[in-house]
Amino acid sequence: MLQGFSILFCFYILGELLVIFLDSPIPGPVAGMLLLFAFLSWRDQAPKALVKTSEKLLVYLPLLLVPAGVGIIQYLDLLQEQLLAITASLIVGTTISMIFISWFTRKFTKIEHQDKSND
Amino acid sequence: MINFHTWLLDNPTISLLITVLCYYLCLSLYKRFNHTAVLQPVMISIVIIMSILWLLEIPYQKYFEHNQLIHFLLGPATVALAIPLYKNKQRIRQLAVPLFSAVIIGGSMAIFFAVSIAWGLNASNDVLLSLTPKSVTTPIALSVAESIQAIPSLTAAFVLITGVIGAVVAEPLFRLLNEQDDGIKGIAIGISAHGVGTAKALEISPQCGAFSALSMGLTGAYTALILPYAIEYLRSFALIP
Repeated sequence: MLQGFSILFCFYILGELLVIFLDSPIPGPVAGMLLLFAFLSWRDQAPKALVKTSEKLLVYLPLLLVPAGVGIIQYLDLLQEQLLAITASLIVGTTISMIFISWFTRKFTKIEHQDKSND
Repeated sequence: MINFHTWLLDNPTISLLITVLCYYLCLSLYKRFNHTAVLQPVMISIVIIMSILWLLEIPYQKYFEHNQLIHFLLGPATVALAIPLYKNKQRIRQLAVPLFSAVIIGGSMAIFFAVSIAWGLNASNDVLLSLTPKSVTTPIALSVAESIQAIPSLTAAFVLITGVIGAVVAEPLFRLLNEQDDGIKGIAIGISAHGVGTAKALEISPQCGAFSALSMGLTGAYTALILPYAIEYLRSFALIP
């Protein structure tokens, strides 16, 4: 657990530092995630402690989103003013994008075929 | 006699308890009702906590300050997303071309559809910016929103609602499109409806869930790498404020 958290914290800090050094707009935690992914792929194995801690932490990921999400309470006026645009964008936008992606994937990729050969 | 309200505002444990207990209860409710997407526990928790803060007159700044302990872990948890991605390395390598093309084209189009619809209906710049990462898994979307100077709380709400819509729409939509391949279904769900959609995909079949989780992770990484540069580029031409 402690070993796993140490690795996660290290890569979190490395990600933040990398982003500062490169003066990049990429979010630090995502840079940390990509660095950790690259590190694991390079070593070609994941430390057991890290896997255990990460999986435990990810079970609680939804809870971690709650405090930031409650912040919407400060923008209720904004939401009300633009309710139509927001609702339309969310409902229609999400539906069209699912239609588009399934059409695109079927038409231009061979995922079905490749997948069968892997089974 | 101490003032009850002052005591409430000075005691971080109360705010922490509100968060943890609400989420726990909402999660139990969600499980009880067979994981119905409209009862998505984070979304319901947020609504209930907002009402509690309003009733007890706790300012959001105080609540958030007291919940730093929970909020902080979001950073390390985002880093931990590397683990599921690494575990799927084999599959990513085998399906690299179709997966990456679907993620790049699909992920970009998901942003384009959302923003152009809202723009056509006169949404403000704040809202448009906050909509851009809406199809991406929430922890990544939050950090992207911060980096492009959108409003992270708005983004969080948009992301959650997007996930719920994706999960509700998925099955009827695929029936209508006569789409029967679980791989394709998973990719469409994962790219447009992130983790909440993936929960639904797992119900369709394990294969559908695996493809959805994979596409979700890749779309998160792709969007976080590209979107901040795209916004910076548009800003440099003063196309957006």
